[in-house]
Amino acid sequence: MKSSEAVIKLNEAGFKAEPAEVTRVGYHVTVALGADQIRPFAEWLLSEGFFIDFLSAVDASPAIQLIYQFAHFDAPCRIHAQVSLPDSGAVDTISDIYQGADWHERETRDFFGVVFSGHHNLVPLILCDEDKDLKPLLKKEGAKKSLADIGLGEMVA
Amino acid sequence: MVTKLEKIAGPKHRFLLNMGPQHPSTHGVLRIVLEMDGEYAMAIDPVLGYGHRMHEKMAEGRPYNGFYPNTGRMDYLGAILFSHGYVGLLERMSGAEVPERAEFIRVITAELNRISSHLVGIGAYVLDLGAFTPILYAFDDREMILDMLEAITGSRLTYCYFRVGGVTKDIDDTFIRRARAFIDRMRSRLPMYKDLVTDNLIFLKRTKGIGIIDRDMAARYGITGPVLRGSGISYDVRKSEPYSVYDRFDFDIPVGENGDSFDRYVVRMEEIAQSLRIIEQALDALPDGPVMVKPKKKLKLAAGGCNYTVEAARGSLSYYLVGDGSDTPYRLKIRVPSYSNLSPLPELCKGMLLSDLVTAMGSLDLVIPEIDR
Amino acid sequence: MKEIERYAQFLKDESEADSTELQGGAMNSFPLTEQVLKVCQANSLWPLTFGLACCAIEMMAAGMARIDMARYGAEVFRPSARQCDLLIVSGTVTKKMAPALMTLYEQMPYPKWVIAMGNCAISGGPFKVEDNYNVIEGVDRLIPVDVYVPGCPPRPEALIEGILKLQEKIAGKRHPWPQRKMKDAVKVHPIP
Ligand code: SF4
Repeated sequence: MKSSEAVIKLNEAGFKAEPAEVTRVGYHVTVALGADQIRPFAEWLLSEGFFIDFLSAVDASPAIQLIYQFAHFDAPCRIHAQVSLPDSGAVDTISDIYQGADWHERETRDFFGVVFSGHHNLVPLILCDEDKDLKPLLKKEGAKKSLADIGLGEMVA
Repeated sequence: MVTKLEKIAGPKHRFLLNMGPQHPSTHGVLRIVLEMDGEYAMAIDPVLGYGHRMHEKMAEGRPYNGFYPNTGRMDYLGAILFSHGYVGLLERMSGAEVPERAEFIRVITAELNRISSHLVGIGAYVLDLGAFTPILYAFDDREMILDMLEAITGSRLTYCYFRVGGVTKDIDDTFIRRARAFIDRMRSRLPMYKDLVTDNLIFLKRTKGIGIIDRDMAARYGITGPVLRGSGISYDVRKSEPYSVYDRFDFDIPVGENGDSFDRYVVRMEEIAQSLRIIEQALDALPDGPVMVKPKKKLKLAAGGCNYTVEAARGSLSYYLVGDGSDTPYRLKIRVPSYSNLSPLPELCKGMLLSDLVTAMGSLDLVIPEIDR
Repeated sequence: MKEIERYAQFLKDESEADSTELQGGAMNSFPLTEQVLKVCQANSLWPLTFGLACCAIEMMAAGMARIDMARYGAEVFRPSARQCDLLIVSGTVTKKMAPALMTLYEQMPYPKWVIAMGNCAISGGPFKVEDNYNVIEGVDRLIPVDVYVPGCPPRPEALIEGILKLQEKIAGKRHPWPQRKMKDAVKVHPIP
């Protein structure tokens, strides 16, 4: 699927997608997602034949940003989605849609303490048991920056 | 799946088997907990983290330039390919110019590194299956690559050769002569590997039809690299999102037919031949000029996220960096290929014989400290 | 950390045990047999197949074509700790790995030796950083180390030198077994 086509289809399906400048940011489409849209979004992507590239998070104020990236085997089309973590600290899992997300979600829980509700086995993956609440990649007080300062502000739904 | 034993004895017959973290066929420090039914592995639970070296945390605590050595220590078999992704990312974000000669040298060294990585991968894989001879040949060939790379990078394994704006040292005539000699030698050795391994009846019987990955599974798990191409999908970042100067070379993407362990092995073998083609073309077309444009003293990047994807030896490698306007990264996420390639293991190997599980896992060509980062 | 206490306990147990028993028992009470035994031990070290990270590849290279550690009698890599007398710690030891590493060491029969290969095993190497939360800064906090081989990674030749040093430590002499000199004319590995 061409990236321009993907933008149109994504918008038709109700997601806020915009084309991105690939030579500058390295992905073709950005999507600003609400926390409740993650599962329909993943289902849509799977039905269109996208594969999961990675899932991670960035710690910033006011909320942790979850980063989802998907790409396609047949055409250069890399979709980059950003989700603001709601106050509850939990988002829906996509590990039953994209099984590959299972480990990424467990890793994100290890490093950031994000809870993926509905995940079947959210136990530490990388860290040892005694460190399971260490959350090493969370920023220390004072080092945390606001979304505007790190340039992720416009992508919040 | 219901095994024979289960029919007779019921599910209570199962027992847990621990494999690793010190096990010769897990290629490092992977641990797998298996629920066995006789010889069959019914549930598989990989346990990661034995090689977690905090690369992402370290990136946040040092200037952009200070992370170069780390890139070579994640996937130590394909260190140059990992550096390539990182400098590519910094260049994309800072808009730094790279001289043409440097780009060609990058391609040459990266492809040499890919060959050396595949040689270890193949050698170790065949060793897992019980054949000791091929790995000796593979390491012999690999040492020639290491000689060449050592002469220009100063290191045998964990290269730190690429910088923003070029490479640290120009290649000389000796390197070019050696590289051409290596191409000839490797081409003459490939038929030998075919006779020794690919046509070996025992090898065929152990790998054909084992661990089949199809397109749907690949998409759900994000499998990339030779493992994906073994399933007949010609996805290669060098072609689909060309970076550096890869779009100027003529090469094919080898693909397999059935997606089994054997196809993944064959794809790696053919990729060696394709890499030789790329190196040959790059050596022929090597332009003159400087290899490094001295950048400004301190690298400072603007705020914002940026992604850069390259094809590492084991699949697509992405660096996603969030800058905050200072000289250190705010967040660096590294998407490593082996991580996604290993994750289908529980589904892939369910109900397999233990010895077949080793076959299937070996064909994924894993580097564990890369998975754990 | 629990592992540090475990090591202290191990050292205590070892010092209480009869050291001649651990080192070979009655054989050692005769100087000549003791010397013969030591020369034999020094010349047939059996390392454990135990790769932790990057350095493991150089350890593999040391056993393969070209470098060929077999020349010094240390090429019989065994996959089980119970059959080994040399543990080469080749790479980074993490918190999660530490208990497993100690178990491996404790499983090895006496007499046993340890080589710490690479800066990571010696001191944490490149990962000894301020906000280190997962890497053990030096394997000698967990198990006793006989020889340190620095480098990141050390060249295979350096590992061989480490093994020669270990032989010296065991038998008291650098080449306990007379080495054959190579003729000058022999070209070992021509480089094009
Ligand atoms: S010392 Fe260097 S090469 Fe060896 S394991 Fe550590 S980082 Fe890797």
